[in-house]
Amino acid sequence: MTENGLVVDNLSVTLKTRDGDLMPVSCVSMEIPQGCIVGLVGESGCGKSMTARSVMGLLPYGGSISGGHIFLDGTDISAFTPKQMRSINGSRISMIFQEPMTSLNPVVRVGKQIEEVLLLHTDIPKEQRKEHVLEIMREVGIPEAERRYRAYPFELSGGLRQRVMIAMAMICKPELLIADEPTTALDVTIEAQILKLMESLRRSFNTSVLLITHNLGVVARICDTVNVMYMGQIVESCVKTALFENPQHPYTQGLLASLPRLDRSERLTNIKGTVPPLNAVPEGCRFADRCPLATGLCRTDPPYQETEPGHFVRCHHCSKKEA
Amino acid sequence: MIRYIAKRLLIMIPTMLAIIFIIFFIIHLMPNTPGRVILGISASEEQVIEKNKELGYYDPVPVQYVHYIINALKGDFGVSYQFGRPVFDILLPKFPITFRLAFLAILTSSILGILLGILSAEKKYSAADVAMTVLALFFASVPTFFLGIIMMLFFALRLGILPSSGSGNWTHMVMPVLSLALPSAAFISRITRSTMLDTIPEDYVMTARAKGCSPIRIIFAHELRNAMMPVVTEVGMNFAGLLGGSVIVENVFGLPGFGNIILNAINTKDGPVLMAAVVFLSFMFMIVMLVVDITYALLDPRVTARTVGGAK
Ligand SMILES: Nc1ncnc2c1ncn2[C@@H]1O[C@H](COP(=O)(O)OP(=O)(O)O)[C@@H](O)[C@H]1O
Ligand SMILES: [Mg+2]
Repeated sequence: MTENGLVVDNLSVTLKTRDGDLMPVSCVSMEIPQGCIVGLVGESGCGKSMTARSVMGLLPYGGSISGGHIFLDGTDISAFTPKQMRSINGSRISMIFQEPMTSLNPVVRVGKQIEEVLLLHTDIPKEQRKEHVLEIMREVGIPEAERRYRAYPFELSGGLRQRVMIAMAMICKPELLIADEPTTALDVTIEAQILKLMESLRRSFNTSVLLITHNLGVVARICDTVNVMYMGQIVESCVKTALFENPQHPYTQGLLASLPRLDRSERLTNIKGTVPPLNAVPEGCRFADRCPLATGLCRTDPPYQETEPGHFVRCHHCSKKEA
Repeated sequence: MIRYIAKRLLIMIPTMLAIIFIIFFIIHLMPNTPGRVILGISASEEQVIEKNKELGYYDPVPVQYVHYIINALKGDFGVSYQFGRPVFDILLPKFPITFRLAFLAILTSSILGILLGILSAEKKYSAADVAMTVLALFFASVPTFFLGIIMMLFFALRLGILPSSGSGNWTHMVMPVLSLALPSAAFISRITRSTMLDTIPEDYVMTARAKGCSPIRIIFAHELRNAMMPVVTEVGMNFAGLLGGSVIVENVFGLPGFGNIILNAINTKDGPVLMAAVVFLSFMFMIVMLVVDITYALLDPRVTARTVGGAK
């Protein structure tokens, strides 16, 4: 547990709502070693953002970490006070969001918004801050940084705004960048550019990235390892190549089968049924109702086990195959 | 920005002309003729008609209107029927009192209203929020004169710490300012509360938290600036209202301001004074609204981009 990077250990999040307590994240474990890009994939509503927000200490009103730990470079940050969290948010862990259109303050110049991070986390004197801001703006590929420094968000395109968000997130050279669907709202050419940028920043800053997406195409492009999430649980975790060549969990197989591919001509299939609501979590395997392999055994909790070195799956059937 | 202001100033000219026309027309409908007002009830009908002719009272209203405008542009707003002195000289010395009253009141109510509104929003549904809602409801609905009289009873008669009327040093301003400021603070705090609440779920607030901003910084550096637009409108409207609407408070506290003059002019049917006072107040109202719009543009860069086409 002393290694560098982020370790999420058996994390559960409870959300108090009017209709009772929900658990959008239950017993999630994953590792993001320093300098790696780790994907977190799953259909929308499966708890990806909640996981990310619990790492940032930014759970919504009524939400709290109800179990497990989060270690950043060996320090348990899940027990941090809000004040301690604020001192690492933006400097050691930063986050970018899905909607570049609304994630920037509409009435503040973008340069100033990036500069605010320096004001909060460094003691660089006022006169020198702008130079740092322009430097990071150039680094994330914002052309005419000097002019863009003075621009307001509404004057920039979606792609540029997301670059501003990235500049803001990277200016303190954080150990971990959490990117919550950073390209979902962008068109595909811009998506490719942003992914390339994150890839190169990871290399030049040695930052780990937790990349949240529902798009397996994005995973295929830049992730090192992948965690597949379903209804608040990690159901499969492995290196990227294993996921695409040897998917083991029926849910992962379903996701892959619904992905169009040029080298195969068979019909696209969908996973049948829909995700049950969080207040009606099925007994045993949460995917059983939608699973083609489901048997009576699936009414009991499946074990989360290593079927091949480094390849973890939460499924009764996968464990059987190995035996 | 300059172009934007210039455009707004130009629009003020036709608006002002229309306002003057309407007021002019209404005042013309007053039952007494000017001759009768000036000469009194003892004068004969012939003398009155003679005087009216002299004043151009029988000219068609549009002609009188044009005359009025031309004279007004020269700074001549006519002569008071009651005092026989130029209207301008009568009104000018009253202005500082009214302006100071309105200004102090709006300053107090803005600070109070915005801070309490923020507090209400941050602690929504708490006991403090509920208490402030009730208080705001009270102050928004209680008539100003009543508030003034209650304060007078308490601070002047009971405690004897503030003078009950008159003008002179700052102590004379405390109660009039408060009785104007409290109701307006009530409105401002309500608006602030609701617009602040609107900003809380915004994505940029989440971004600010992700940066590591403290709650105080999030409120003042991020939420408030976005929530200010409706608040500024409310403040502007209240200020404009205070400039003309402090009639009652000025009377309660015996402050010789604009309100007093207007009331007096109505009682004595002093047309020119009434006319000029109302024109002046409309003018002030428009200036205040212009300032509000300029503040908009300063607060939100998108406003200038929309209205002028390109902020640069
Ligand atoms: N503020 C909230 N109150 C109640 N439920 C919420 C709230 N936010 C999210 N949820 C629920 O938590 C679950 C996980 O949401 P989220 O983490 O945003 O999913 P994802 O990011 O994977 O799309 C969803 O079922 C969602 O309905
Ligand atoms: Mg999400």
